[in-house]
Amino acid sequence: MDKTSLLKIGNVLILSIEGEINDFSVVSMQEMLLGEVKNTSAPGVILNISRLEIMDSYMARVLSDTARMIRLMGSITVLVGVNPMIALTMVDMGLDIKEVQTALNLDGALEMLKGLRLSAEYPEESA
Amino acid sequence: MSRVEICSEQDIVLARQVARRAAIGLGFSLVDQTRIITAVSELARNIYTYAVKGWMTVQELNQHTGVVGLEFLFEDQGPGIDDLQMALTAGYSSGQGLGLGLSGAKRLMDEFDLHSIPGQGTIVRVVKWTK
Repeated sequence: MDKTSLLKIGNVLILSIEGEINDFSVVSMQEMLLGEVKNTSAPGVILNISRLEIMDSYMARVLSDTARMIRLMGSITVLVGVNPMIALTMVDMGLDIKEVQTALNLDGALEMLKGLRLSAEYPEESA
Repeated sequence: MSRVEICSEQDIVLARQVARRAAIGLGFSLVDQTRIITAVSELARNIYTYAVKGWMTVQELNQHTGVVGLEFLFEDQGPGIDDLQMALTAGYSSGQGLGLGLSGAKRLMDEFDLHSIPGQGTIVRVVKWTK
């Protein structure tokens, strides 16, 4: 049962994680995504969790590990779609995903990645 | 009362589904439903990770004041927990997690009791009341 979908908009990869995904699928999703980052040389990755049912400590760890791996590969991850229930529960539990930048929605995430790419490509221009 | 055997990763998903149905049935708010399902996910995963096999039991509690609640029992005959104080410390993990499973579940629920005998098993009881 496939609970994730991967899209590419411009050169940004967008992974949406849905519903009641099990731990094993979360790990295969991570491997698949890292492979796609390599294959497409995407400079930015958006993790969309707007349809994720809950965020427990396992999912938080996998997402933050994934973002760290993507950073090591040279790409940048933005997390979108943290709903109010998930935000409340995460703070209740003391969970955070510090390695990952967050955006309110896909538009915001795409905008953020555009900005980051520009500043990374032309750092001297702002000086 | 319903009982779920936990011995695979898919059973953790099943435990969450059973918890969700029970929480919706009792009229918990969306936020409390999310808290309950998240706590259940943590405790069911602990069984799978540390004891390999165990059970979750759900039942409805009724107080004479009219307040209702959901009680979940997580039982296993796994290795037990050597140092309860340590296991409940946020950030401590003897496994692969973030170490926020037990302490997180405790913070999300209204009642939390843990009994563990090293070498014999662990029982965790959690309750959430509708307010």
